[in-house]
Amino acid sequence: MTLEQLADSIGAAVQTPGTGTGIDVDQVYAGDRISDLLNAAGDHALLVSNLAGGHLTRVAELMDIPGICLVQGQTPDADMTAAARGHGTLLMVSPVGLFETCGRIYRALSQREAGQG
Amino acid sequence: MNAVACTIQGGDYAHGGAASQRLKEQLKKIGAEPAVIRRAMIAAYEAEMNVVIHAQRGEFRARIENGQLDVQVIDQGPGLPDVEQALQPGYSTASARARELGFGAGMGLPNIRKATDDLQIESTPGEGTSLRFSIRLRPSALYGEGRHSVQVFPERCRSCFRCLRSCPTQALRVHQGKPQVLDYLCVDCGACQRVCPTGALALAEPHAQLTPAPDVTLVVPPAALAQFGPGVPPQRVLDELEAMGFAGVLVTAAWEEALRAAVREWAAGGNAPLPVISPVCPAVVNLIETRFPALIPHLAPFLSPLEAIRETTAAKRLVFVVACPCQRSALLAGTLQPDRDIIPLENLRSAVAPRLAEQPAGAVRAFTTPQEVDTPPLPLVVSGIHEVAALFELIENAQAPDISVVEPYACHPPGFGSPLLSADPHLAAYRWRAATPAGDARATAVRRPGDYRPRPGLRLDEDMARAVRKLGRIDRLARSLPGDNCGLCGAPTCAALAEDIVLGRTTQEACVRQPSRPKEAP
Amino acid sequence: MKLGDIARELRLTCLTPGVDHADQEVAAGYVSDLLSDVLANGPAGGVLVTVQVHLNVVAVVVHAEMTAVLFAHGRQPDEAVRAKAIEEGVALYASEDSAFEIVGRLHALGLRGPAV
Repeated sequence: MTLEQLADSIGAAVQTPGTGTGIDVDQVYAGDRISDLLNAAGDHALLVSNLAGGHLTRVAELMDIPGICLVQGQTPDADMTAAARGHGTLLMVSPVGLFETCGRIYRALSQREAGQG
Repeated sequence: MNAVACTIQGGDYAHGGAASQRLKEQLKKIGAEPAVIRRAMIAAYEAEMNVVIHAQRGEFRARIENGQLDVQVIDQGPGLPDVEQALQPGYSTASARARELGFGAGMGLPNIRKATDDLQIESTPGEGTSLRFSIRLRPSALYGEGRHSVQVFPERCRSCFRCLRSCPTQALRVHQGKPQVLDYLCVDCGACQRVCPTGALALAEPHAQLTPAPDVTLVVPPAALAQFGPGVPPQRVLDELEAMGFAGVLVTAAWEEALRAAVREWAAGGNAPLPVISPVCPAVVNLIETRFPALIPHLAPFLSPLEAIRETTAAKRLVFVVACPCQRSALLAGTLQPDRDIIPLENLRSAVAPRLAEQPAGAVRAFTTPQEVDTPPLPLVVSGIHEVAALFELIENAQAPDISVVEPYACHPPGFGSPLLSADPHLAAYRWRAATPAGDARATAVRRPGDYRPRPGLRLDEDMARAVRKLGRIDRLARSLPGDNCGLCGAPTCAALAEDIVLGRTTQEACVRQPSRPKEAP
Repeated sequence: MKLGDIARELRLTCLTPGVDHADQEVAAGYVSDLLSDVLANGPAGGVLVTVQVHLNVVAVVVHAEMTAVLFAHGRQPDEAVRAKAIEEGVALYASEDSAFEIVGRLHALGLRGPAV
């Protein structure tokens, strides 16, 4: 399931499209401590966090993480959007809180797996 | 090379990470591996943000040298009263603001330590902290060191398998019509490129064109000057190159002479077990480090002539014409860029040939005396990688007690047998000897800065238990194969095929000779 | 759903002997590593999923009137934190799974975030 398909499936609005064709998500990290996000990096990862500041995009940029999901309808500021766009990171915003957002992502990915094979 | 040098402002969260970003760009430019970049980013970002969170200001300095990244972050700030405590996970003195932004988890220093090969912390409470860490850039984990200049062009491969047999370290495989070079075995001797009829194995790209410029000093090997046919002596080519507008032209022959003298002296000094082996050919040094590590103590501790020129010439810019693939690899160990500073023989030939067209072919010259300047004892010159390997086996078995110095070359004739030379190697060698240009008094031999090291070789798996299981599977599989090393499967020997199957480079179906085989247990 | 059922379904380890609140109904779930955020938004009667093993976690959870803390990614708090939790009547559980995995499964079991 690509980042775009996932966003669609959980009702998240895509703010910046990300590079190239859809990247398949194979890892999701939910958390709020930058040190942990640094170590969770992977090139098919999605970061989901209560944080909404520019450091998320910086971490995504440094660690080549393709997708970030903000929650609670928090919109990124202009600098953060520009940074994500400049580096080709897909930035999406979920209207609900982190717990619910993770629940929806988990369901979407499990259904995808159940559908295969 | 200084990769990054910048200032970090304490409290400047908006720009936090900018220095790490610059470092990442530099690492990508030099082609560092993604895993290494990831580790470097974790360490750099944590170090940089520590300054933003805790200090008033700091300096971020990164250097890349000798295959290693060194970073130093020095700050003016409160310092660490207890460094050991600060290294404990979970310990943090970050402000509430920092924590709200996701920082202050207390994982910074432990993360830096985990991500790096070496970490030094010094701190003076009330003044500041100095952090230094280093990460080796060369990949060495699973495969051992190996940089080579062979590039595979799979679409040109006809599966003739000539390359398999030509390789002195069995570094080649041809599976599903695609040649593959095993990095950890390749010694960069060029033998495969010499025998490949289609150019499926060729000199790694990119290369540079011959572009004269007033700040560029051109370095050329004898083969470059002797490749133009009977009427063009080397001196004529040299004059032409000088007329093209370079700052200067250096011929490596003088440095080869200097190295020869230094090796002779080294052998005479009783420093090393005999015979002493000259490091004139980088591919031969690789061969020793890979297949004959017992001979490492015999190697004289000097750089090859091209590397010596690179280290000692105070020219503004040096551009090298390389005679062969191993010279390219040896030069790239520094900060040279292949698309600007490394010129294959052919590019020089095609740039200079049109300028030589007007000259009528000279009279046939006979020469009587070879340009030998050596006084006894003469080194034993051996050329051709297989001949060299055979001699090394004899030396290992103490069957060459009367030889004091060996001068081994991977190609034959020495210095002229490269696959990159379009002219006939024997004619080119003759023409060089017949009309050798004058030497260069600046030439000198240069001691190696580091030691020769045996290559660690292949680790089957990072996990010891899995590695042992793989070894067992390889062993059982090898015993079930025919055992006559026919090479039809694309691997040089049955043992190599067993390893290929277990490591996933090919499948069991590759062996075309087996009447009945047991299915490989998963 | 009861906390004891959750602990069994997700194979959680209880870190606070005597204080497991197994029979308590769990009102909601919350996932956050920012203590200020938990303080402000943690749902009363809920469980917190976090990796924050800092001592203040207990105080914040008490203040928000939450029932338990589930530590993810194999993180475990030290003795001092566990003692404080027992003292304050907060149940602590641990799991090797990631926070995402834990929340995903809680959600699949029917637990939801705080009412908006």
